[in-house]
Order: sequence, then structure tokens, then C-alpha cells
Amino acid sequence: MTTRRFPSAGLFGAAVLCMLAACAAVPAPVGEMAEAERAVQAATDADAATLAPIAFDEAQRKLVEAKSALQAGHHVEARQLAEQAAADAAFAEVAARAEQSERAAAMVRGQIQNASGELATQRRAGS
Amino acid sequence: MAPAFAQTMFWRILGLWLAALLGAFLLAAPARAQDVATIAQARSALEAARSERAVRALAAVELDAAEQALERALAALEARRPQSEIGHLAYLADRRAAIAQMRAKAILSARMLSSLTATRAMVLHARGLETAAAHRRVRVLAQQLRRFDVKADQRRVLLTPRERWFEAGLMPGPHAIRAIAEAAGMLGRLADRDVVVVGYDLDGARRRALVEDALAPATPADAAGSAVSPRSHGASLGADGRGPGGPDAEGLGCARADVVRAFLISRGVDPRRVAITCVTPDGTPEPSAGASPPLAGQTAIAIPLEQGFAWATPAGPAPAPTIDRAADAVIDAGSGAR
Repeated sequence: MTTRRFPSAGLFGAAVLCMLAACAAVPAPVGEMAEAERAVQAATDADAATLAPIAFDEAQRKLVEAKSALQAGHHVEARQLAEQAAADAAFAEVAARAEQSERAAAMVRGQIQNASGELATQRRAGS
Repeated sequence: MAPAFAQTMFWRILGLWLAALLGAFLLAAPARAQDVATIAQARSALEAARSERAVRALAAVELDAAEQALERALAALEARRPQSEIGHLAYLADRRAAIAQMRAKAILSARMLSSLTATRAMVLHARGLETAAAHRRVRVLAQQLRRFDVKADQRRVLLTPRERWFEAGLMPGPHAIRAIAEAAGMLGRLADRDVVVVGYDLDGARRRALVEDALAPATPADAAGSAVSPRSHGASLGADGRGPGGPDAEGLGCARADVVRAFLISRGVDPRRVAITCVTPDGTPEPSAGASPPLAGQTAIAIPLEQGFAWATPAGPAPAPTIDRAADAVIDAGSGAR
């Protein structure tokens, strides 16, 4: 009597092996981590901690979580967190630069107003 | 019998399998709805960014990145990728859209700042020219005074009386009254110019004796009501001609300066324009001053009551516009950002 083996057992084994292979194939997100680090540093340089604190804090938090995930070997999660951290940091940096410009513009506007007032006074006095 | 049993089992297994499939579908449905909502939010953010002309013109690169991110999210949704991945890609698309909007705003702000800075430079230049012209006018007028030695630098004028105004006490001599009237006449023609009367303080014992003697009679300072005096020092004569802490609190130099101030006011000089300050004989301000005395002011006319007065600070060139270097740095950063 010949015994016929059920084919699904073989398929199941193959699927498990594929999944294991896929997990092992996800590389560590080294590039994404570096990019996130660079973006957070750029935001820091733009004084985003003061000028765009919410986005900056979010970026920092995600970068820390990405590092933890990387250490734990959760490469997919680490990559996603690193990419989000980079995006948050990029937003924080641009927002900080916009805020800097607006503050400086307000200051210059005040200086113009003062100088114009003085000029008008001088001209009145001189006439 | 056996085929009937097998048929029954087949239908039972099929039923169970279908039930499991339906359960899985029902469980997955809310997750998929959430994915769709997440992506719809990102799409909405992108459309909002795209609808702004400034964003399209100034942040095209960022806008492209946002569109690509949204396409990736949509592809993941089509491919029924895990919810975490779809949510992640939708989040990136949303952020990129926000970055595009913020980039456009930053560029517009930097341009506005640049334009304002140019305007400020023009206004400051015009003000500098006007200031120089006004000062020339002051010097010309000051040179016409007969009872003063006139010394002027680029912005300040020093009117030193040729004769001593006070011998003792607080009452100036007749020649001093005439000189003060002459100065007041000139100051009346220079309505924009502040005046500082510089009193010289004496040593403590002599000052005390003189002040106690001299302040007893009424002085013009009484009439002036020095409470409104824009004095550079905290010491102030009250309505009775005495300082708030009695005569000891007031140096004689300050008291004499106050007398001169009162004379100037009585001859029509606006009280708001006339300040007094007290300096030690070597020309340094008394240490009691809280703020910088007006001697450091850049456009004042000073009338020292003693010879040998020197400005506490050199005038140097015309005052540089009070430009915050940070503003220029921001302009540089803004122009370099693109």
C-alpha cells in the first residue's frame, strides 16, 4: 500500500521557510537612521527646539524610538520611525527658518518706523 | 455509508472555512476603512498645498515629494499591505505636504525681510543725512554765541561758559543770567535738540555747608517745579528746592545745574528737553546714577558749569544703524536655503 502524503504540509513548510528568509532579509536601516540624525541636527542648528518645538520634539522622540527598535532587531519598525523622524525634523527646520524670518522682519519693520519718525521730526525741526 | 459521511464532512469543513473567511473579512474591514481615512487625510493636505500658488511656484520640489509619497501610500493600499505600512506612508505624504507649504512660507518671509532691510537702509541713510545737516545748523548757531566757548564734534555740541557762573551758593551772577538768556535764545531755534546741564560736584563737607546755606532762600528751581525734570540722576529737588532726603542728598553741582535748568525753562526752553547731570571734577558721572547720563547721548548740547569738561564717551562716527545682525543672518540663510 502506498501512502500519499498530503501536499499542503509541504506548502506550509515552504511558506514558513519563506517568511523566515524574508525576515532575515530585511536589512538594518542604516541609511535611514543616518538621514534622520542629519535632519534632526539641521533642525537643531536652525533653533527649531525654540521656534518649532512640537515638531522638533516629535522628531527627537521618534529618532530615539528608532534607535531602540534597531537595537531590538525590529528593522521594519526602525526604518519607519527613522523616516518619520527625518520628515518631522525637516518640517521643524523649515518652520523654524520661517519663524526666524518673520521675527526679523517684525524687528526691521519697527526700526523703519522709528527711523521714519525721527526723520520726520528732524525735517519738521529743520524747516 | 462512507461516501455519505465524507460528503457531510466536506460540507462541514467548507462551512467552517467560509465562516472563518467571513470573520477575517469582517475583522479586516474596519482596519481597511482606517487606512482609507488616513490616506484621505494625506490627500487632503496635499491638495491644500497644491491649491496655493506660492507653494506651486516656490516649493515645487517639496510638492513633488509629497505627491510621490501619496502615490506610494495608495499603491500600498491597493496591494493590501499591512496597516502600519500604509499609515506610515500616509503620514510621510502628509508631512511632505506640510513641508511644501512651510517652505513656501519661509521663502516669502525671507523675501519680505530682504525687502524691508533694503527699505531700512534707505531710511537710515536719509536720516543720517538729515542728522548731519541738522548738526551743521546747530554748530553754525552755536558759533554765534558770544559768551560761550563752543566745541563740537560730529554730533555733539559743548557750550562752555567763558566766565564762571557760580562763585558760591546757588545764585548765578548777572553775567551768568545774560549767558543763559543767550543760550536759551539759541536753544529756542533748535527745537529738536536736547540739552544737558552738567553740574560739578564738590567734596562732601563743603557741599553740605554750601547747600545748607544756599538752599534756604527760594531759587528759580523752586519755580520750575523740578518734579518734572528729566534728570539723569535719581537725585531731584522737590518743590521746596530740597532733595527728597534733604540737602545732604543733593550735591551742590546738581543743585546748580538745576538752577540753570530752571532759568532756561523760564526763558522758554521746553522742560522736557533739558536734563541735568552731575559729574565729578574729572568728568566722570557720579556713581549714584542708575542709567547712563545724557552725556552719552549722541546729539545733546551740553552746558558744563566748569571749565575742562570732556565728554565721557567719544562720539566717533555717526551712529551706525541699530541693525540686528541676526536679521542679516536670516536673510543669508533664507537666500541660501533655496
